[in-house]
Amino acid sequence: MRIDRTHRPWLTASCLILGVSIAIYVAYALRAPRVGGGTAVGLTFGIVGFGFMLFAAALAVRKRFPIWRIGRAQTWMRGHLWLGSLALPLIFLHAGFHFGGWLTSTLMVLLIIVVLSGLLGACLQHVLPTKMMRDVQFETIYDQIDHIRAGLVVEARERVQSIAEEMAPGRGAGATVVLTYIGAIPEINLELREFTETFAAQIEPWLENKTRQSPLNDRGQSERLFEGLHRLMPERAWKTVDALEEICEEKRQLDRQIVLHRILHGWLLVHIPLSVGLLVLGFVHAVGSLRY
Amino acid sequence: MEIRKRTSKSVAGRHDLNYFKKGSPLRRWQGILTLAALACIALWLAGNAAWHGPTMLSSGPISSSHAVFGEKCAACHKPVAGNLFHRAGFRKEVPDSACLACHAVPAHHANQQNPPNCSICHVEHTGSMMLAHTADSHCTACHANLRAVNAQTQFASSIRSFIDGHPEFAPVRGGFAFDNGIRFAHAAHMKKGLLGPRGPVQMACADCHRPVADQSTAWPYGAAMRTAAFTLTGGRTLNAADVQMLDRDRGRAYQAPVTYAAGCQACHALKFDVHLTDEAPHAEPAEVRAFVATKIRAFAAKHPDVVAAELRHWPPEPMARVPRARLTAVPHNAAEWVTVRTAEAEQRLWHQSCGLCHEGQIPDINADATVAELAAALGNPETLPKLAPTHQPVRWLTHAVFDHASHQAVACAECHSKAAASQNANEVLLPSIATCRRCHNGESHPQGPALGYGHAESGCFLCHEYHAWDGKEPQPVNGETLRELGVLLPR
Repeated sequence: MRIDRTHRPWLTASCLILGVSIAIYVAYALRAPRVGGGTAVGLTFGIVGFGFMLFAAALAVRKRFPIWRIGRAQTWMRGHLWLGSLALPLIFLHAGFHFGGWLTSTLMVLLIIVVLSGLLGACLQHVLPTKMMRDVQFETIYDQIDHIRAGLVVEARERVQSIAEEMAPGRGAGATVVLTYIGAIPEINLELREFTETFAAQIEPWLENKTRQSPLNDRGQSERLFEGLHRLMPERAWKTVDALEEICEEKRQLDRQIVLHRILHGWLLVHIPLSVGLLVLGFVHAVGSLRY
Repeated sequence: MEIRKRTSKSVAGRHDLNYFKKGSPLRRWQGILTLAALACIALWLAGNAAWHGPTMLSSGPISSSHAVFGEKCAACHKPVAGNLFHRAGFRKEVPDSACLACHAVPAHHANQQNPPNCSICHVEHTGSMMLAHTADSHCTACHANLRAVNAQTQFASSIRSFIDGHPEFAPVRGGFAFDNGIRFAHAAHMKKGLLGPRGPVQMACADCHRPVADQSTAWPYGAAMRTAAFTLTGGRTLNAADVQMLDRDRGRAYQAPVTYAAGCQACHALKFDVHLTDEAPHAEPAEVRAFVATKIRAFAAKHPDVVAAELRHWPPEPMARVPRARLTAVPHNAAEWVTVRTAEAEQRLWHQSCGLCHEGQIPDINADATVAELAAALGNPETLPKLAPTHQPVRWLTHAVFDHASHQAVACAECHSKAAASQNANEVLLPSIATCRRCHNGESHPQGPALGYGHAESGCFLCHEYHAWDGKEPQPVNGETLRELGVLLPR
């Protein structure tokens, strides 16, 4: 989700809530004998902060039931982002900027990690989709990437097997005869052999993801490799060489998409489990605080 | 390049239409990690509950004073009778009875309205070392508007902090009359080149003003101060509040009262006769008279030759610096010699020694009195001096506490600036509140964070005690309290 002008009302409301909260806290901290979660003001901050956390967590429920008519997904997402971020300063005010005991310290650390990871995720969601659109023209559904890469290998093999046909001097009557004997021509045979060897040694394993280190990972080195193949092969075969280069480009972009996708969504591996933990421990803390 | 033909159909045809059945690996990992996080939390909670009980729910570390209770939350947190919420085990607060089981403390004021619970001011679970160091706001809740509590206020009706609304200290406030009962000039004792028992000396404040704990340390005017001399003259004793104060901070908080025996005797010895090395006791005049007569009578009995010699050559050489003590009566026998010598010794003591410091009526004896008249005067209590009683407060600010030891890095003259030039013992040489405010200038963070540079803590707790001890001894509490709480290990 891009953070653009449409977030302005949320930004304004969040700043307002934060400003009012800080004003209340300062007035209360200057007058109250002690500040902390157990006081009336501190407890109010705690309840509001925990409420914001619960609202942020409700996004997961909203996503699981997209057909529910309870507001647009984008509105939920914006609420998740802004109110979830507000939870951190409100909980700081609740605790009077103290970490307290083991449980509360753990909660505070968890909250900080969850909010920071969420903010990192928001930044990534703001930046990376544009970058992906720019860098990955062959973008596809992430979960289809392996399937498509396998298809690319098959397509590349077919292209290579058809190279001899491409190298035939002409089409039409007699072409088949020429094809039959073309393998017997020493020069052509050498070029074909070198081409197929290059494919088998460098291109095919890389397409199959069997080698991680390959010049094909880099667009510049890849271009130099295919320039060599262009020089090696007669002009009639260039169409196949170009197609092979495009297959490599697509595979390279899909690899790039995987990396960007993992960055774009990897932070959720921290954010979601810790959020669940935070809510559970927050509930334990609330019950425990009521007990003592 | 577009070498390969890419149509929507061809692109769509490349996709596996059943991919969603396999599930996303990222989502799968999210689920696994979430379950792992829940499992970790469950294990942690269960482990804590098993090994540490409810201490996991503690909002912070308990103070070192209560560390003995360890994880025994129930020692302080008691279930209270109340509504269903309470009966269900919630709101186990700390009732005052839990505190009073160990700390038997007096209340604040008899007329205090709505006294707060102990735990309101003494906030536990903040890791603080000193629970008694409470925030000013606890005090200013009432003292910032005392008229709301009591229409008649004695000193100030709105004390918001030490620097805002706190009245000037009573002894240095205008209209405070003080009669020390003695003649004394600090300026005379701070002069250079005074003659001490071992030669010239330059006296310093600490020569006379010392806390109880330092009484026996080195002293330039004798072997050591006479520490046993803290019983005041005339058998008067300090009141309980003063004794309690003198014992604060292991006897270093307050200066001990300056007594004759401890502070003056080394230079101002009560010698009364050239033949005797004894000094008269610093006691009531009747006691002094009896002592002197006994000593001179004993000397005459022990040294008849000296008495006989003096009778032959009367009058003997006058004692230096005793011009007023020379009587004209001439003794003719040992008994008369004792009478005349005793009368002389008394006159010397009354006028030269007692009268140097004490105010009062010191009757002059007739210098031309006969021996019989002298004997009659010595037997007459009316001829004894009537000295004014002395008033030397151990503590000037009786509603506050002070600790000299905490201020030992500050020279005496920084606060008691008028002392060195003082000519009159009735001058109050206490610093004014403005002097204190040079350092204690308004910042107060009893439980941290650190104060700013140049600021000393200014909280009410620093000088004032909430609980009105007023000399009361801490009441004994049940000595079995810790055992009953199960805190003590078995024998």
